[in-house]
Amino acid sequence: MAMKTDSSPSLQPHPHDNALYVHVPFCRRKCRYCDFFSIADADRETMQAVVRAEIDGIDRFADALAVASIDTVYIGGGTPSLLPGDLLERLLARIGGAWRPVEWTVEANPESLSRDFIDVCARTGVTRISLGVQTFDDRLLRFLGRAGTAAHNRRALDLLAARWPGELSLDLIVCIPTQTVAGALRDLEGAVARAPGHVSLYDLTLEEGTPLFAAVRSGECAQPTTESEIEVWRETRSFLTASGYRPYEVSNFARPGKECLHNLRYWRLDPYIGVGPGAASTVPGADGTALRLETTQDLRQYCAADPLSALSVERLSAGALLLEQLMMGLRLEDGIERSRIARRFGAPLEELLGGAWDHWLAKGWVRADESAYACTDEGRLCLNPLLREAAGSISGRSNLKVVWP
Amino acid sequence: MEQNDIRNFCIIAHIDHGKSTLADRFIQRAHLVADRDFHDQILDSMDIERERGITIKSQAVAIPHRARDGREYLLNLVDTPGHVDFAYEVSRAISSTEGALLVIDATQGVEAQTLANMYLALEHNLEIIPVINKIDMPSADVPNVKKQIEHDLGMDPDGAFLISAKLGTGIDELMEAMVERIPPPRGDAAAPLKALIFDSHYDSYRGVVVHVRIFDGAMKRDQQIRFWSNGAVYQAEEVGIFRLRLSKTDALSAGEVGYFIAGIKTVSDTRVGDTVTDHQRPCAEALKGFREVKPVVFSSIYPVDSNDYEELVAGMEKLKLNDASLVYEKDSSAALGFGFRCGFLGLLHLEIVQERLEREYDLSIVFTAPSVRYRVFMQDGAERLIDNPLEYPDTTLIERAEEPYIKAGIITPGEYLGSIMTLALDKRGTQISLTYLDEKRVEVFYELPLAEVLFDFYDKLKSISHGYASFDYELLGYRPTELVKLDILVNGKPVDALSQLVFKGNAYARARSICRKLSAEIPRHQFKIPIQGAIGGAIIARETISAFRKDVTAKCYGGDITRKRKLLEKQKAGKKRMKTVGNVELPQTAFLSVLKADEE
Ligand SMILES: Nc1nc2c(ncn2[C@@H]2O[C@H](COP(=O)(O)OP(=O)(O)OP(=O)(O)O)[C@@H](O)[C@H]2O)c(=O)[nH]1
Ligand code: SF4
Ligand SMILES: [Mg+2]
Repeated sequence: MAMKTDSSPSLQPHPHDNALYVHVPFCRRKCRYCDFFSIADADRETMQAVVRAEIDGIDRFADALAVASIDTVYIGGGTPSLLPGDLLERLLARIGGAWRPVEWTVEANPESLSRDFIDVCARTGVTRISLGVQTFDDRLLRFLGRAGTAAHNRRALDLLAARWPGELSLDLIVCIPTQTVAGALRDLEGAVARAPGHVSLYDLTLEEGTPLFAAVRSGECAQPTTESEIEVWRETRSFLTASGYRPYEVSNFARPGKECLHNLRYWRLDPYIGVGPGAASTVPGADGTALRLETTQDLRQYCAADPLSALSVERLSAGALLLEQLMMGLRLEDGIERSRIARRFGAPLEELLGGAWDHWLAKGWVRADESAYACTDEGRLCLNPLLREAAGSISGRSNLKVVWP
Repeated sequence: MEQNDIRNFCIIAHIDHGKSTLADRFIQRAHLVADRDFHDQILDSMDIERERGITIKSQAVAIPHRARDGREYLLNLVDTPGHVDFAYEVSRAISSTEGALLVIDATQGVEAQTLANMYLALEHNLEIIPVINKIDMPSADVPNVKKQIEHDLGMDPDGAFLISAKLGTGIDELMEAMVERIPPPRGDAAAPLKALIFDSHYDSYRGVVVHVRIFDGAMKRDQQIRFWSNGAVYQAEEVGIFRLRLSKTDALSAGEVGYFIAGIKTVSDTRVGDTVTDHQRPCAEALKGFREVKPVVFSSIYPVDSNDYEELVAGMEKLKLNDASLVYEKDSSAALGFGFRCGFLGLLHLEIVQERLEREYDLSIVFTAPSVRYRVFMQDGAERLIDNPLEYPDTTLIERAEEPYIKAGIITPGEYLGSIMTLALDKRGTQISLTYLDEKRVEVFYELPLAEVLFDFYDKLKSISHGYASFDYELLGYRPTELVKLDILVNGKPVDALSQLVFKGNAYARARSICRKLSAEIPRHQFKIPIQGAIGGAIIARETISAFRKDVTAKCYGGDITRKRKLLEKQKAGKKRMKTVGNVELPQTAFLSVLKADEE
């Protein structure tokens, strides 16, 4: 069970095979569809306090886990490019000064992407910039309540082309009300023309509590029909595939070798440290269990407290881990390695899930070979009912054991 | 106990007029339960009753009462349900008592079941005491209700009691009057034992508990008793009375109401309506028993997992003990395997049976689409009664068909008459008569096909009249109809358990509505599953379920793993709730949704 701790959780030393996420919870303004944790219009003082606390947090985690190396780093948000250059540099330098990650991503939004930002990234060892363009259609950008315009998108991409030596990933949104299939494909063409190594393509999801959700509820705008969403799904996939991008995860496409290593770690349920307000970590506990730590979203509390104590701690049971392993891993085209399941759970999936796996296999929703378990294209799209079934059979098992990571 | 000190009575009324609340007051006056353990409608002891706020089972309870004459009386009360589907419970209570409190809600007045239940009580010569309840409510209109008692019920309104069951107003006077007006039982205490089984239930520790009203003689602990209908002999291990719990006594004597436990192994030996007598000294003839139940709607029950058939058999037997109105026989279906064809008194009854089987006997079951019983005349002159679509003959062999009709009596405030007439017309009704009961209320009679009334007629009536119209019905007989068998195809294959017999004129709308409801119920498992409605091979409706799930295509990273997993854990699939039909998995709810399908 989750609980608030006053004292920090005891962690097990874990020198290698680490990943670090740092959350920058600031945005110029709140987009209408957004339910990520971020605040609009923060002043410099607040940003400074948060960055200082985050650096402190990185130190505390590094100590507690005796971190010697970090493979991947992801600075996400919010909008990291909104940080004043000196604050950003202070944060990045702390990381780059200690470790040499193989992949290091920083997210940026077009309207706040500056020369200075690119230079700081290049200087400190960042290898990848992920730019949230979303769409090149000004009408839709306005509808989404984005701070930037299509012109900002183009300018930012030009700037990156001119100055950024590293990898580039672009974020796009489709299935926006009134967006046509042709419109979605035009956006993709525009994105692919910039030759990013990686594209993330999300369906707009209406999250409860967002202004857009309320607008659709009240009938102010119509939601795309399921039929048209399926068409968009098919068309965009085949376009990206034809352009040389492999759909390696439900919403992520990459040129060969350009998959996001950091996100792959989430999907494989490998350990990661999350720093910053609202960030989550999955790390080994001293007692041999996996711990899920969730950081407070209260900025004041976050900045005031010891970064390792403003957390809720959940000790993940074997069943919870197995369910998460499936929930994340079956999103991947390549699925979950057999060896990973065997190593962690001590038995093949067929056995762990009772009859469920064989049942899915018979239906053609999953496939398995000597090396991995994966969903078929058909199965991946109806993943949730499968996972609900898995949750049912997992909860009925009493003898599950796990060795993690 | 001396018969002169016993009063047996039932509380009868239209639904929600306050019977169980009145029973509460009697129970509290007698301190049968400690105050801290008391809760409202305490006799509604089943979870389903509490959840739905209605009484489903009649409940007997013995209330000790010291009257003003200084004597100790035992008032055996039976609280009855008000909903039409449970009228059989009321009729049995009426046959086992000498008096009835006819409760009338002062804000609603006389309604359809007030009349129906009063006639039933009159038939059995019960002493009826009219009780006007809820007088505490601002909208209570006592003078008007008194007028209705005189005019509609033909009873003396001066003999009516004014009470608030909720606040306890007028209860003492009422109890006094019950002792005075309800006649004591008049059995022959010296004659051989003659007891009527009016109910029973299964207790997992004690086995079968038989509920009896002793008419003559007495039943003592250790007595050898015999069931009249099948001659089965048992020894009464325990006898006692109902005091919310079972309360042991040494004997039950003539006039008393109570229970006995006799180590009954064969559950089906116990039949509600049977007579119990002494094995050594049997009575000369049996009691009249109860009128036979006439189920009006039929549906089959199957275990979700065919391996659970034996458990279903055992569950049905035990439930039958406590639900005398349930009738069933064996059945089988290509899609669903072995099960039972069951008769019910209405759709609510059907739903309750389903829930009780699931809750009390831990079974997972599906029901097939309910049907009335049609009369089919064959080309060769033969005549068949068909309530199961699976048995519907080849149409070329059929000459004509008839369906059951009812006579429905509706009482409504005049302002809703127009909408009610439209509703009745929609449901193929013909008006027989219309009478103004007073300036405000009208009573209309319709002839209506039973099949139309079963499907949400009641709900619609209630909603168009804002709850003010009430209705009751009796079976009239068969009338010519045009019948078709509507098949439902899931993924291209007909699912026999979803087939229905319907009036030809409704087929198209019914097919569309079923397809739509099913498509909402079936989980989005495969990419595209077509659901079609067909008559004799011709497709008349179609819906497609698409597997596409937006929630999967949303972002999913490290920050929201916990939330997503918890959601899954909350929605985790219950075991065995799916029935694989063809190669599609149908959840239980899919079968249920067909029950409720109507043409919108
Ligand atoms: N104000 C007021 N409400 C009452 C009174 N008696 C009953 N009620 C309310 O009326 C509703 C129905 O009461 P019940 O006692 O469950 O009615 P019932 O006749 O047993 O209903 P069924 O068994 O379902 O036919 C409940 O909400 C009671 O609280 C009363 O005297 N005054
Ligand atoms: S920029 Fe991103 S994090 Fe910020 S409000 Fe918009 S969608 Fe949310
Ligand atoms: Mg009641």
